[in-house]
Amino acid sequence: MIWPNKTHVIHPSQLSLVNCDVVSDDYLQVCYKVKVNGTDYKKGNFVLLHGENDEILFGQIQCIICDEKEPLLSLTLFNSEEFSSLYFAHVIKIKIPTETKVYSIKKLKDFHPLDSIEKNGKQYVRLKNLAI
Amino acid sequence: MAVVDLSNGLQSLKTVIPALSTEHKLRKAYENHPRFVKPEPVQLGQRFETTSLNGGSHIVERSNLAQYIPISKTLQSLFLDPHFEEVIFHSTRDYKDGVYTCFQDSQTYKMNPVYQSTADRKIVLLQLYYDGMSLSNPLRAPSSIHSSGMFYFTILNLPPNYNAALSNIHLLSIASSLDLKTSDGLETLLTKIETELQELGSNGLEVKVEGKAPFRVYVYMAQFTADNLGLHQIFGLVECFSMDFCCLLCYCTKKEMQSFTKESDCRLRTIESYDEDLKYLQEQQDFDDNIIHQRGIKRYCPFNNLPNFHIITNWINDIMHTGIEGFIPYLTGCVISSVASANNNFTLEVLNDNIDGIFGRLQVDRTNKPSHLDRIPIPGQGIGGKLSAAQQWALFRYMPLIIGDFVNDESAMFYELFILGQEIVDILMGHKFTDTLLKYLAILIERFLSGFLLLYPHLHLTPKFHFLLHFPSIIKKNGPPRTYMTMNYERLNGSIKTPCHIMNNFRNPQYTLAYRRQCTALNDSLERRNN
Repeated sequence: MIWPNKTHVIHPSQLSLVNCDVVSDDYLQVCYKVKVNGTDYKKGNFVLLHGENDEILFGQIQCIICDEKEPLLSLTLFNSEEFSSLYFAHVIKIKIPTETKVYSIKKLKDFHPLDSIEKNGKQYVRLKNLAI
Repeated sequence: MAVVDLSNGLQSLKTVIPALSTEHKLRKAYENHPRFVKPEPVQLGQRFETTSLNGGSHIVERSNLAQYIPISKTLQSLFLDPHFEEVIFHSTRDYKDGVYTCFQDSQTYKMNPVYQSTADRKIVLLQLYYDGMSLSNPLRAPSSIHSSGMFYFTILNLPPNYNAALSNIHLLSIASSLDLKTSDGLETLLTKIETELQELGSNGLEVKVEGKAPFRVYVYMAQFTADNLGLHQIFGLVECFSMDFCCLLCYCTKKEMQSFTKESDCRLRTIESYDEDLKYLQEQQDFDDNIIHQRGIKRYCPFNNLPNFHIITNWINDIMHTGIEGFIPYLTGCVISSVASANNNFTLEVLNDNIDGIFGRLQVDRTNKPSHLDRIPIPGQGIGGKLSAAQQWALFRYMPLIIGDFVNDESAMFYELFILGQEIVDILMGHKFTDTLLKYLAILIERFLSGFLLLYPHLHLTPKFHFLLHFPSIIKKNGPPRTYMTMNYERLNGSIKTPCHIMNNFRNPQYTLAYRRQCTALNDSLERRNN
């Protein structure tokens, strides 16, 4: 795991500003980029999460909490509305009401960071591989 | 005064660590470190060279040397790190019947008596890799003179995410490709590896872990991976893929490859049929030296002497060479051509603009943006240009977003076939498989190959399309293709050969590269320990 040189110390009261769903009494160190096992995770990237009842859930990285043991991703949750067979990609929409959650990279359904593309007013995410 | 102070300060920096002040001292420090494994020369044969001395030319005898890093020493060095022992033997993984996530889930592992009889012994499973690597600039004339054969290994006991790191790929041997091509060069090196593996498998290796009593581990080569040419070279099979019997797994002829769409159509190779072919070949060669192969078999491979391994049961095919650099660009070229010929609005400029538009909006795959295409591809000729594997894969994945809007009724069938290809590649690139998924994959592959033959009757299926139909069985026998994909090894090749371009010293590049790689490996292991 390679931490970036640039990390920010955040007061617990400021956590909501970086969309971080952590309850803490202490200052937290956050960053916007981290390398884990050769994979870069950056602010704005999407990741695939385990949804409930076969729901396909994505999360957009808002910030990365520099925990001593492992990096934790603060994510805004997105639902997959449908799978576009034309573009072979998921059409995603932000979960309403807006929800942010903190995930460990080990708990992701697929460790690959993903891109989203806006096309014809919709947001598409193409998976890197089938994740079961 | 300030300048003098600064100068004195810089002078003192030179001697911060006096023991490392010169390159000689630095090398000594590396070599004296208990975790450093020095490459050992192995003689592969002799050659005669003409040298000029005192105005005259002399013929001198020179040894063909390969650099060899013993597996036993590398493992002993790795076990000095207590964390390594913990991860390798004490990490918990869920093994479920019918679920394939790693080699230990595969049929080969579960059905091999050697692995199963070692329940009370600690075993280390290795994956070996071989590839040819050109060391010099390919534009320079003598590039082939300096190409090298590289052998690496990884440890399959480590979780797959650990093996993704280059520091967990270990160098086994480097030899000049020319030396390997001489009469017995390759066989000598393979025998050397096989002898060491025999010893490590039967007698084991005593390792010391900090804070623990020494114990014995038994080491086996479980998989051998390489690109298609590399596998055939090492296993002693024909190296030409435009002839009959060029499949390592079955006896398909060139003609049969054009019509077979499922594995049950093929006659698979077995150990018995391999032995028969080899025996027949030897008998025939006694009468006629011109006979090169018998049903694709050229010579015996020393790895067959290992009790747990046989080249015929090593069901491996590299998805990077077969898929990403094989049928993927071929299929992408076909679909672009079909869409362009059915829709006049879809031109080369539109295609390149769309590629720019899509990749310009990406963050993760931005670095894999392919270069502009110089023409609308011709079916059967790939997509042209020189794209890296990562670029080919990224272009393939985003191609539906690039061309999807231009598909009309006329090109819909071709596009459907392309989408079927997308589904197959997505499944093959997965990290987890189940028996049900593999059955579904076999059906998809059959539909895909039949569809291709129907829609592109004037094109022929390349051997890489044929290898595709073996993948469901390959996954059952060896686990997910990602675990033996050669992409990581190729990445390491890239970083290993970089010093060659900088040093521009080609006197004994194999030794230089092996030595430097071992220094890097020592650095990596010390860094891991400090973290």
